[in-house]
Amino acid sequence: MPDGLAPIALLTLLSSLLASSLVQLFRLALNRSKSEAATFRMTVSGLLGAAASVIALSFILATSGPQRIDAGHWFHQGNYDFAMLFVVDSVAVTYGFISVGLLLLIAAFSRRYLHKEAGFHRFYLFLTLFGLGLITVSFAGTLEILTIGWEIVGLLSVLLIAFFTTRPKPAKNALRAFVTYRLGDVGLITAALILHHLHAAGFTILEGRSWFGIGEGSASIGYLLLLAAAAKSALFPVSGWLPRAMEGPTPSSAVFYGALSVHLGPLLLIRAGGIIEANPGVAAAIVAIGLVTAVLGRMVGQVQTDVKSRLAYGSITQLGIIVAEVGLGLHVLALVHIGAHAAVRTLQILRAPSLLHEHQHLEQMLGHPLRSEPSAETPGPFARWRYAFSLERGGLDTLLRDRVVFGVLGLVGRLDRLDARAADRLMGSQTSRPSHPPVSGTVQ
Amino acid sequence: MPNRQEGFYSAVRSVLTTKKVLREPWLDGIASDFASFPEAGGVDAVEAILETSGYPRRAWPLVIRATLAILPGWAGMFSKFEREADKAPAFALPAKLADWLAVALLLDRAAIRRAARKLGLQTASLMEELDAGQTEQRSEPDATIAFEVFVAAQAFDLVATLAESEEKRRGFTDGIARFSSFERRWILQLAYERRHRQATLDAMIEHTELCGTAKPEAPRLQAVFCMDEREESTRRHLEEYAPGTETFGCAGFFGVAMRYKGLDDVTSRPLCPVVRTPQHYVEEIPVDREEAERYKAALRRRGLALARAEQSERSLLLGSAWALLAGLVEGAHLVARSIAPRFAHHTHHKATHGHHHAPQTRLALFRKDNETTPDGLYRGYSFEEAADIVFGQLTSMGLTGPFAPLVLIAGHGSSSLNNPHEAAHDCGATGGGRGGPNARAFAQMANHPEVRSLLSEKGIIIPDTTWFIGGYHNTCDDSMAYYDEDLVPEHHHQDVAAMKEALAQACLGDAQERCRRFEDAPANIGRREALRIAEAHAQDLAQPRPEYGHATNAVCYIGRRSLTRGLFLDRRAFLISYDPEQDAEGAVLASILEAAGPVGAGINLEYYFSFVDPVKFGCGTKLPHNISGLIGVMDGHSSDLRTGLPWQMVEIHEPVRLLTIVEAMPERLAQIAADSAIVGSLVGNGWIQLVSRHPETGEYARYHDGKFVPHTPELAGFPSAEASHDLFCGVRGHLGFGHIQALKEDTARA
Repeated sequence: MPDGLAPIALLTLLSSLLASSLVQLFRLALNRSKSEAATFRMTVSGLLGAAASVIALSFILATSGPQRIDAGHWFHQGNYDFAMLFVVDSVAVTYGFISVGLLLLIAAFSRRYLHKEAGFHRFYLFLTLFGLGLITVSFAGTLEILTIGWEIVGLLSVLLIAFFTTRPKPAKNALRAFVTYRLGDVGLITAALILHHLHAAGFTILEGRSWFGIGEGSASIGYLLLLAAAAKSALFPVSGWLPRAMEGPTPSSAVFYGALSVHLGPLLLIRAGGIIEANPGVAAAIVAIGLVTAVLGRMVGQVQTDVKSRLAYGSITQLGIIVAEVGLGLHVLALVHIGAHAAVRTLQILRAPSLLHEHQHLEQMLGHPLRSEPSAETPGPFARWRYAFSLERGGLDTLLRDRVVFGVLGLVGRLDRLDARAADRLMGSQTSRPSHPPVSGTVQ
Repeated sequence: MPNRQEGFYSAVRSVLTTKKVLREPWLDGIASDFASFPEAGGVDAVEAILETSGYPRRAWPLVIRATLAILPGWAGMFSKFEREADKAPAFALPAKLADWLAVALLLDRAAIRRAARKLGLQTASLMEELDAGQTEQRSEPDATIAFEVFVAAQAFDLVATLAESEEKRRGFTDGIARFSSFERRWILQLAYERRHRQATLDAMIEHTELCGTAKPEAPRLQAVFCMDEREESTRRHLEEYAPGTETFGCAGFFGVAMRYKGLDDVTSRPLCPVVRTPQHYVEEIPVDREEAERYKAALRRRGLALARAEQSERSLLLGSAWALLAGLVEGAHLVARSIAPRFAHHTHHKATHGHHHAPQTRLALFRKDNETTPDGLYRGYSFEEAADIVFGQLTSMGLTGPFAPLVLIAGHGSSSLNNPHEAAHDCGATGGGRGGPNARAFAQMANHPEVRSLLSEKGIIIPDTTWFIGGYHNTCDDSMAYYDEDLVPEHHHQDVAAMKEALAQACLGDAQERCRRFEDAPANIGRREALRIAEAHAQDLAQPRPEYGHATNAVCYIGRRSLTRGLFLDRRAFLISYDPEQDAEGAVLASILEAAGPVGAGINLEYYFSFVDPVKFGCGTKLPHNISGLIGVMDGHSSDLRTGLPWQMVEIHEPVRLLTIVEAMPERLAQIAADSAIVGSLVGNGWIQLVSRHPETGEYARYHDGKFVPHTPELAGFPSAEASHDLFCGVRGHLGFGHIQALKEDTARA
């Protein structure tokens, strides 16, 4: 197959999703979205275009091997070069497949589930844009391009958590996810900066399995990327946002926090495989964080009483294991695990409202009640502690909010006041800068 | 949860007093709080907490009410399980509302303490400030009135007049201020109900004038359905297809108030209105024990496999392996489910149920020598009890003969997927259960020779040429099932075949009539296609509207079917058969009103309140619902337990109080309302609208402020059509009433 086809396929992939979202956006903005069927058709045709392109890309990959697509350079500044670089390799194609496939499924499911809902058109617009973000992350050839997709995905996730605007809780929990994501962005963007500072033109893409074949001096980049991955994938210690994200319509919970968005963390780490291999410290940290996440996720998950929290902690547990696999260099296993987990979790969340029905059905099949009566004996002190500890989610959320978030906000506030005072002294008069109210109680 | 067998307070206490756990800062000091109050919780703890909280004693009721109203759903669930422990989903745990209240008061206290510390206030002065803040908010700000004056002046075109003098302006403003928003809404409600009532009563009057009292002379089939308004259309379509059919309606437990355990059921459950406590226990037993054992063993094997999969998912490493393996299989299933639900359901059903048909069963309905169960229920009925039930039910419906060769007793229920509110679509008269077993039991009683001979002593003679058959109507996928068909005597086989065909046709018509309300189906859909859509709705994981349930309920008619036969009621009316001519004393009517009144009013008010305030009384949209503890749903990650019905169930409801039309003299109705506490409070407090239709003169009178006011017809005429289909086809919204001519003509020759 001629190599010239790869750029065309990639262009089709991105443009079909982009075109679909732009048309939907304009229709929404101009209040033209009246017909559910039209919105549905637009989304599905965008996604089908994307699916066809991913299939084409997979053929190209199979026949001509991994591709590097140079779409030109945006700008140069000194020795900085913003290259529009994409890659077509097995990781990109696999994740592209999973994403487009599950999005198509959710699109089909939601047509009936969200029928007559006020936010129907908004939901489908978000779904398409989200797909665009995922595809950008999957096929990105540089960290900058990846960051663009990463931010699209993050923004859309937050908007979907806050999908229902009539209650305050969704907005509050969306804010928590937003803050966590921003924390992760500190890692991602700083990593990009350092990468350029150290290795301005030194990218060797498609060397081996991962993009950046940089070895020495890259440990800091590894840790920063781990921070980014932790925020996106709700790893220890920032898991708290994921169960709280179950505020949107069930299908959006399924696809965003159950299946696709949360797996971007391990994907990023797979991309950074070269760095991890070169730095055993980073690898060890990844494995450790993965395992702690898995154990904590399991402990906390066991004391949850509602189905969506249970599933969220189930996801966290599996994500911990997947990340640990990545840390151990088992990239293929991790990719298969991602695919399987995404499919299973999506189905589980989609049928979460069936819980009562299925519980009854299972009891009927077994011929006896599923749960036995609790034993009368008092639990030992350790069991009691474990329960209380798990119920408080290890106290991590409280700790992070009071020490990290409020700590940072407090620091920023102090710096702001210092700045104001310094400015006053310079100007020789009181400036009319609005004084900020004390930060409290905004994030809970 | 540790210590949960000792009650909620004790469990929370044990969790919150556990040391070395990092908690929210506002919970600081909660452990010492717990230490200073009675360990057992309950009312003692509530009293001790209130005593030390600084509330004056006279404010306690207010404090308690306000605290309970913070999370009314959870508080209500505690109260429910305190009263009905056996309703718990897995096993009964001690639930006490006082425990809940004590915990809420303690947490409140901790939060107030924290807030006071932050603001640098003493707790007492903080409370004063909170009080002050509340009183300020209560008075209505003038700006609101100014806006309303402005709007009203424009609406009545009074702007110029009002500009003339200050006096006029003041008078107008005062009038507006006195006419509060509450009063305005009340008047709107009354006007809305008047419009509906006028149309209904006029339709009944006109229909009687046109058609007289229509009734088939020698019916081939008598069919008894639940009073449910969803069966109104089924009955109408059945009569249209087979005009020689006479239909009846009654509360769908058919007088058989029992605790029932089906072959597959793990525990027994009551099948009767919630206000009744069953005294009898009935079990479904297999005819062939060995076959049943094989069936159960096969079920258990698959159940174990499923349970194991669920278990392994909970364990850490096995879970990952399982996720890896099951991912692909589940993935394929998921795809099928989302894209073609009906197809996926059929193939899945074939794959899992193909080899093991449910074995043939019977009800262990009659007891021998006063056997009882461990919890003190009779194991089945004696013949005398059975005869009483059958006699009571038949006389109450006015079905005392002549009998048709075949009498169908049809219970109903509804099955749907991915729907935590599935039970809300089931039969209200069986307490939210499925009424099939009740119908089956009733038919079995009425067929028993012993019962029949006792009945003939009481004056109801059921000839040997009459056979009763029990059936079950699934109102979601519009399917019918019949019980104990193998027992039908040979000379009835033809009747049964004809009945099945007639009901299959009626279900097609019913599906078509229902589908016009589903916006995802074309309004002028065909019958077969409609049935397919109904089936798909029942089996679709993605379907938040499997059926519209009682959403169209508005009217309850208690009287002879002959007055409503051939009247198109648009699935709006509960229909209860009652013959005033056979009830000289009024005792039958009193018991009907006592049983059906609360059921009908309960359903109607649940829809009413869920519709008028979906956020507070309803449970909002279904889409973010999250099942908690197998007992209810929350919104999203955490919220109060949501009560009431979801918007998707009520969105097409017309919020009127149940218009109850009774074929009885006003004096009799007034007497029943005075004698019966239940009926008295429903009518006297205005929870339902009560209308009397005089059995002899046919005049209507409406209960208003303690007396009956005659109804003044404003006859406007209404459409008449060959068949129901012509009236509803192609229309989406609520329909008015209509005549079905086919039935009028056929009456004479049937």
